[in-house]
Amino acid sequence: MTEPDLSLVVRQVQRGDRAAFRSLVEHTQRELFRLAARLMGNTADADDVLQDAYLKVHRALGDGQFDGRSSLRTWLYRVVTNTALDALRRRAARPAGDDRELAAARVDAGRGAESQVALAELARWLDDLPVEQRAALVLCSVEGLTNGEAAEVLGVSPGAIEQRLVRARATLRKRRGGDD
Amino acid sequence: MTDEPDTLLASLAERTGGLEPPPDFAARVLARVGATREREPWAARGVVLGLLAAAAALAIWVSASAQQEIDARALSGLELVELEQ
Repeated sequence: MTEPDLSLVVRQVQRGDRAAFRSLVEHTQRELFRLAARLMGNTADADDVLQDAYLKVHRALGDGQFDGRSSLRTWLYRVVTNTALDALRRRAARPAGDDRELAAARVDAGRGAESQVALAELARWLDDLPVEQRAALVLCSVEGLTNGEAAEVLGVSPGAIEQRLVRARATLRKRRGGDD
Repeated sequence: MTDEPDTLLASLAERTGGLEPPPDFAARVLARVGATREREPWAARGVVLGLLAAAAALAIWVSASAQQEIDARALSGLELVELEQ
């Protein structure tokens, strides 16, 4: 579905059309699920985060909080990314435990096994990064957003994104050097 | 050297490109939205009832304070009259 079509759907959702919201979810869930999974590092947490994000989207559209100043895609990315960052901060605040094992146990190993392996590898690389650097790296280097787009999603300046990317890449480079 | 992490991440981006939500994902989201909508009117009613209760308690407190002040003034007036006598 193209962006103008989704804009029409958004207007219908704003008028309380439940079928339109279903359509919005169905047309955006794949892309947003990938984003959530890449940010969280596993599909079980991505499932929780994306559900919470869609609830926020539904409430925000009903309250008229989406004013169309940013594109719908950017706005959805912002809601999902912020929800994921909150979840990552909560995860970091919890005592070190078996969160990832628990999440892995909830993953359907039969579905997209290669993607799951790659996701676990991505999570290992990103795990030690501060959440802000992790988000910048996922948005720019994995999702392919420009610094400007990532800045809009995260609500910071493009300069701040660049700074986070430089630091994150330096940490990864150091870790790769250590692993060799 | 500078693009090494990005090369790694680009490869991981490609390999995670097949990630998909579970087949029942949209249905679960809609069920949660429906459940939230059903709860919201009750939550709103709860807020209204809470505000009414708070307003009633405030009215009682203001009324009691005013009565106490009237009693205190009446008492001090009485004492003044007694002293003058």
